[in-house]
Amino acid sequence: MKLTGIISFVFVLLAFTACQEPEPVIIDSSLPQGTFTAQLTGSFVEQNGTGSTGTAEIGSDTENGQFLRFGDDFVTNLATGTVTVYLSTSQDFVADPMNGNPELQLVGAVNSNGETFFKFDAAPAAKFTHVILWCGSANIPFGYAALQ
Amino acid sequence: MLTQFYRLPFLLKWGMVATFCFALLPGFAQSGWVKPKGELYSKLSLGAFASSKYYNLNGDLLNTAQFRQLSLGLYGEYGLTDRIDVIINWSSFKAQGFETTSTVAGIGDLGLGIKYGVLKGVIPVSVTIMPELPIGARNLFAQNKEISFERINLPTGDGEFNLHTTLAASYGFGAMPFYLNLFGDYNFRTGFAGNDFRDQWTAGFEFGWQFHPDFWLKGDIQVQETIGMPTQLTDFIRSDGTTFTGYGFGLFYRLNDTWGLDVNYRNFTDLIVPRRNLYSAGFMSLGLIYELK
Repeated sequence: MKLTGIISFVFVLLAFTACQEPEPVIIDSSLPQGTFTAQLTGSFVEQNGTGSTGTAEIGSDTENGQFLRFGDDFVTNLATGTVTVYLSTSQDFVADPMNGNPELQLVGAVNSNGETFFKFDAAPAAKFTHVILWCGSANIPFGYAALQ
Repeated sequence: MLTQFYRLPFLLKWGMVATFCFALLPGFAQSGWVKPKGELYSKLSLGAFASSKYYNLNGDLLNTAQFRQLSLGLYGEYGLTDRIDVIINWSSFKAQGFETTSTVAGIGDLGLGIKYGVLKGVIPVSVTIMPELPIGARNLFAQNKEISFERINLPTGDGEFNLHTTLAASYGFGAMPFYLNLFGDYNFRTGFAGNDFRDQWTAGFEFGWQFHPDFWLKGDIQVQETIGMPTQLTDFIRSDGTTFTGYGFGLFYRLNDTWGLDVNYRNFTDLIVPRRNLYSAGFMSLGLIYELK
């Protein structure tokens, strides 16, 4: 009787073990999958003594996801918090809060130096030729990169 | 008016001059006088500041969104002995923000010091040691009103322990209702979050005139310099690398032997030392003075 109980317990245990799914692999879709290939590249030009430097690239991964990448060498003055990133048709930030400026596309915020990726929902329009770093709290540019 | 001052006993005149010096102190023990044993000087001040003119670390002027600050300060100096004062200097409350952000508020850092009267007499000289304790908020993020993911760090404290050492001398012009203060201050700074802040020195003079038995007028000029070159990018709020030439005017009104009021105006210029890492504009403050003798 006791032996039967032990065997039943082992079977139940094995049955539950068999039901366990393998450890899920979490894919961070905000990062490139596979290899990131740059199509446009530019170097940041500092503005207003903010120390902005480094590279900016627009490109795609192996699954054709579209990204803006700041390189390992990217630096700007983040002592005050975050800096907002835009794509623009020129190096100058020209906002139109009431209507929205079609020459400007909001990308995201950067809060750390070094490599950062921003994923686009769709490939950015070819008219955008610059990346702008903009401090929206102080309303001043921190730098720009002309993409080629 | 002046005749009335001249008729006062010598020691009373000196006492009035010394009292006035305390009344208009911008926040540090910048006079050579120390309080007699058991006497207290205290001041509660309310200041308002707004500026869109920011001078960056290169000294370039940037027109930014307007930065606004409201501050409440507490200063107290008590004569422990006839040569030693204890001092409290505390930015007890600050509320600040840009016109583009929310306003953040909190307490500031606390200065607790000892002032020693090295010389007394016609030209009194004092030395003050004042550690500044970082009890204020070290990080305080104001939210941008238009961009939900953008915020700016506007702490009410600088996050570091620092130590002020001040040498000051004063002179009263004998029978005339004038005084002069000279001072030099060295601010030994440490750092915050892995960033080493550079030391700073400040020097200046202050001139005061009693033009009425109950009124004093003063003016001052001071300069601040930073020692060494910048080692990292910094923000204006922690004042690393901040330099300036500052000037101010003040008016003190004695309500009675215990209470007084003052109003002060300060501003900055590039006259001697250029403005760097600084929001520059006129700054008004009102003070309520209480004395115990």
